[in-house]
Amino acid sequence: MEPSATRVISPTHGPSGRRRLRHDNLTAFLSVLPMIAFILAITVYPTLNALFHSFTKWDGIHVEFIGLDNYAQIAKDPRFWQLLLNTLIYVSTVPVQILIALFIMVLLYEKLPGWRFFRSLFYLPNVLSPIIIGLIFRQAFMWEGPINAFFKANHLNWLVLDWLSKGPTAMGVILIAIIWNNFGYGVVLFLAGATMIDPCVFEAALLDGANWFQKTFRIFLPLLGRVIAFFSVTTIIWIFTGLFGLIFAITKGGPGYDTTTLEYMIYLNAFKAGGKMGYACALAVYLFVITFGISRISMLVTDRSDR
Amino acid sequence: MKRLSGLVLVLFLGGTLAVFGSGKKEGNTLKYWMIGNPTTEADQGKPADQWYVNQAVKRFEAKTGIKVEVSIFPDQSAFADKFKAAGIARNGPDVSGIWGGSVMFDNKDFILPLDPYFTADELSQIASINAFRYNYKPDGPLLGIPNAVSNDSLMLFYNKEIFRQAGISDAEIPTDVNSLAAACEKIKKIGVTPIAVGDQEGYYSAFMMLPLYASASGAQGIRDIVEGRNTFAQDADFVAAARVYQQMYSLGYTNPDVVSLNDSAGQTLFASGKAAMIVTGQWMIAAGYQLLGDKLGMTKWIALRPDAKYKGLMVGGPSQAACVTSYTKNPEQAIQFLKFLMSKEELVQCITVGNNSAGSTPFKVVPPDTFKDPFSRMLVDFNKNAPFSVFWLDNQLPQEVATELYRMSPLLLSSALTVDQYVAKMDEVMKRNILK
Repeated sequence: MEPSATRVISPTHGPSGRRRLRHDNLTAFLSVLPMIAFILAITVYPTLNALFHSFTKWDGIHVEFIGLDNYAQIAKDPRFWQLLLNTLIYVSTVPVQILIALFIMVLLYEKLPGWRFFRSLFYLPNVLSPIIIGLIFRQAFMWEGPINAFFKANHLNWLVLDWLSKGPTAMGVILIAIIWNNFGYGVVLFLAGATMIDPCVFEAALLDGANWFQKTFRIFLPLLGRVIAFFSVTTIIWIFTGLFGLIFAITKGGPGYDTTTLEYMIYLNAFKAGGKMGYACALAVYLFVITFGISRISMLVTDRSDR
Repeated sequence: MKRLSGLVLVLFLGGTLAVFGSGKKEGNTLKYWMIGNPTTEADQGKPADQWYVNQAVKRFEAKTGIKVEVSIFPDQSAFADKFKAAGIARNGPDVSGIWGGSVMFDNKDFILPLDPYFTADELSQIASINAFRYNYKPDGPLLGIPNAVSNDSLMLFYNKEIFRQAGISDAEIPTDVNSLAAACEKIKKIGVTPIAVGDQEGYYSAFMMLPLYASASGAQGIRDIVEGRNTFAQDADFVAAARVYQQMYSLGYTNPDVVSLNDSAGQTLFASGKAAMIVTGQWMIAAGYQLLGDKLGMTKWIALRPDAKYKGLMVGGPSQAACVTSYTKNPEQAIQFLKFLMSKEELVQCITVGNNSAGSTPFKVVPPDTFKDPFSRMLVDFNKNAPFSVFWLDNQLPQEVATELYRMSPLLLSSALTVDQYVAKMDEVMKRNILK
């Protein structure tokens, strides 16, 4: 006996269906409304507030509209270009982080003995507070710190320096701290990306006679392109906007302004320079535009290379 | 429908909680913020209930029924940031400590002027009250009263044992640049660091360089620069002081890590006997005596030249103020607390319990012989016999200029900047901040 054809009525078709759909949509909207309101309050409102005050002379209480004066002053300030250069130097760690993270990821992917332990170990610096990492590096590279003690003990006295007292060496310490802090994030990200690659691809390569190097560099890494691009963009944004804790703990932006970033300069102007909050807001807008521009360009380049 | 009603109810409750649930407890509770260690270094070894401030609060609460909630902020350099942020958000204290000078002036919009709450007689009991008037003007609004029972004094501390080993007699204790150089050379010969400097924050320019300048120019020099009648580059005494300061590092008279070592680490370097001298405030006495005992020596900081016009001057004064915030909901109670702290009974308690060392106090009601320890006796003599005294010079600079001074100080000291480059940078910032 054949089953009778049953007409399936879609739950969203017809007048009652449309009513139900509207009802469901309203319920969904009201469910997320509190969180949307919260996010708007803590992101959009401060952003618009900062944008408004960037056109003013503002000490936290008194507001005086001055148009583009803050922006003009910033562009004319030679320190601005030095801070931008400092930040770009920190951005130069991104390729190094990628290389280190990829190398470790390849080893972990092979599931060598203890790989789960090492995966956690390499990710550990990423979960530590930047202040903690900064203090560790500061103590390590102090004149009387363990790094100099190691060099002295091994008769490498020419390497015994006051690492944090000169701009180039202080910056070097921060570069190492940045790489150490963030490469674990790359390892975990790349590993996740790698596990999503269909193993059949590698089996096919093996059948075609590909060796380990060919498998890794001609198949594996290109397939991770999108993940690598994502890591690059998020790390660049982090370097532009998230280094305050590290720099505050290690050098406080010194000596002078040699390790200061644009982000750190916002803090200095808002709190240390006689309350130039309007100027600090303008710096923040500059930072937003630069960061947005760089991430946009990165995404365009990635999209183009994908095609 | 039921689901929708439930959702609306949840939203309403959530909104109500958000708006009203965070309400502060008002009424008889004052919030009091203190900077740095609770009152004095001596308190650090005692349990909290024996600290002067906690005992004082208990007495105040018993007397008035007004509760006081004390918060202590050990990080002094970050305190100004916190005070300003709290002021903007209007969620700060009722009564607070605050550094005098540019920090206080920069935050004047968050501070309640005190003139309407104090009688002329009450204010006459405080020496140097104009130190806490806006821009130091006698008719400027009074922004605070001294928050410490003692005036801070800049001193040169030395290790008597190291001096003895280096062959420096009492007559050779440094009084000017020449005798300091001679002493440092002797100390270097025995393999000890002559002067401990921890200049990461840049304070040592204020401790060492600016007083050298003041020994030649007095109090007027810095006022002329701040008010636009002179510049750093054109002031020969300032340039000379900057040059001497720079030479202290280049001649090897300081520890090599002056730029990366912070102030408290520099004090530790001296107090642990690894350096022969340090230039800092009299707050060094407690920690120094605890670690060095009778080896601790103290004298005035040196003059720029043997024949400097103001040689022997004392630098210091009331550094920290107690203020009432302009947004407090309890101004009368806050003032009541301030007046309680500046009463004679409490001031004497603060000295005897807290074991402050000082040579002078801004409060005239405190008898001079209240300070009994030997170092206080020395400070009393120094202050009495000083030909001249001048308020902390960095406190007299506009805050942006003071911040730049601190920032550039390590670069000057380590010769990363020449003296000409340094004064040029200072003048560039000063041009934007001339006080009228």
